[in-house]
Formats: sequence, structure tokens, C-alpha cells
Amino acid sequence: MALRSDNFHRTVGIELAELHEDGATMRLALTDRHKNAAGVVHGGVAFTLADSALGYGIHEALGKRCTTAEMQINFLRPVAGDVLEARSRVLKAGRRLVVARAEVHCGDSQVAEVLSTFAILD
Amino acid sequence: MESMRHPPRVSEQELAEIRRTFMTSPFNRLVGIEFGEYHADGVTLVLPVSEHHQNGAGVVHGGVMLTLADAALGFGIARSVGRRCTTAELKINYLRPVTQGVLKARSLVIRAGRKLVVARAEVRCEGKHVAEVLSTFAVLD
Repeated sequence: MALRSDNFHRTVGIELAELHEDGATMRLALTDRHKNAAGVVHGGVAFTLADSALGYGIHEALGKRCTTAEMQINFLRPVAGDVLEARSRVLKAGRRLVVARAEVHCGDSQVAEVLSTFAILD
Repeated sequence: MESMRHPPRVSEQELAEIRRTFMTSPFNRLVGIEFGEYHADGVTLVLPVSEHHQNGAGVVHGGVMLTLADAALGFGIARSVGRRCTTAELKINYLRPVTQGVLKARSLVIRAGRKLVVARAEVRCEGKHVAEVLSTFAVLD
């Protein structure tokens, strides 16, 4: 999976920070364009970052192409800071489905928790 | 007009303000979200798919559909509740991949309580149901 070919990552400004044995860490430098009408970071930003960390992390851990089937996000607190990081972890990799979670952090505080189901494509 | 039969709790002036703030949201503009229409219990927002929405696999990134749905939910809830709200929890099921066309997210408020609002959104592309969203919003004031 080539990160450079991911157009939406470029649009949002997402970068791969680190690959782990069981997942990946993606990073995003926050700017004004990530804000919603209320002046805080749009929920879609944290979600997109987590989705990317999950997709790359699962690909790294399994070496297979996957697609998001289902994803649940709980927003824990508003984002206050300059950098957002999402760390994914594979919980269970089956033959057809993968269950993985991701934590989204801004500085020292966790801002969102994500639980997802991915479908293995091949 | 549907909204005339079920007028929102907010005034026309407040409605215009809600619409303006949602449509000038920097991230909504970055993604390319446009206003669609009002319904009695929600709104429809529209997003013409282009290349910058694609992920590495050449299909529309899941975050795009989620962002569109979240915006439709926030807008629809602000309009029917008339108070500031924030997304507390959101779950999305992706039903089909999207490569091109126009995405439409239609939000529906299921239950508006004093502190929490439960709402769902359907994301469609050229008539096909591509994602289903269930959410909980917290009322801020």
C-alpha cells in the first residue's frame, strides 16, 4: 500500500509515523482547515486518522488487503493541541474478518477510542 | 415544503445562521461538502466525488463518507434541537465501495432528549445505500 498514492491522506495531511508489529501510528499536524463550524477539530479528522492507522496497521500485521466493514468511534474530549496521533492494534485476525482498535491522542490526552471490523479482500 | 408542515423549533433567522456556520466550516469546505435540502427530521448534504477523496486502493476513503454523515447529523440536530451539540459516539457500517458519482448523506433525528440526541444517517451514492450511521450527540447548552 503506497501512502503517496492515497489522495485523501494528502488532502487531510496524514503521515505514517511508525509501523509496529501489531499496528501502525499515523500523525497529523493540525491547522485551521481541520476545524468545524464551532472552531474545534472536526470529528471526521480524528476518525479519518484512526481509519488510516487501522488500515495500514492491519496491512502491516497481516500482509493482506482489507477494507473497513464497520467502525465505532467514541469522542472523549475536544482536541486541543497541534499534533494528532492514532495508534492501531490488531486484536484478532481471522480468516475473513479482523477486529482492531485504535487510540487517538493529542499530546498526553486520549481524545478518541475506536473499535473496528475489517473484511479481508484476498 | 416539508419543513413548513413540521416547522423546526428554531426561527428562520437562526436556521440561516446554522446553515451558514455549517457550510463555512473549514473541514467541510476542504472535503467539498455542499448543502442539499431540509427535511422535517434532518437534512441532506451532498458531496460530488473526485480524485482527492480516493484512498490508496482507488476507492473513496471511509473518512470521507463519515465526515459527510457527521456533518449531516450535526446540522440536522442543530436545526431540530436549536442548541449546540457535539458528537459523543458514532458507528458506521460500510455497505458498498464507492468509486465515482455524487454522495448524499441524509440525517434523521430519532430521539432528542434534554442531554442526549440519538440520530441516524444514510449515505447513498447514485441511489445505492453505501453506508449506515448511528450516532449519539451530547447537548452542550
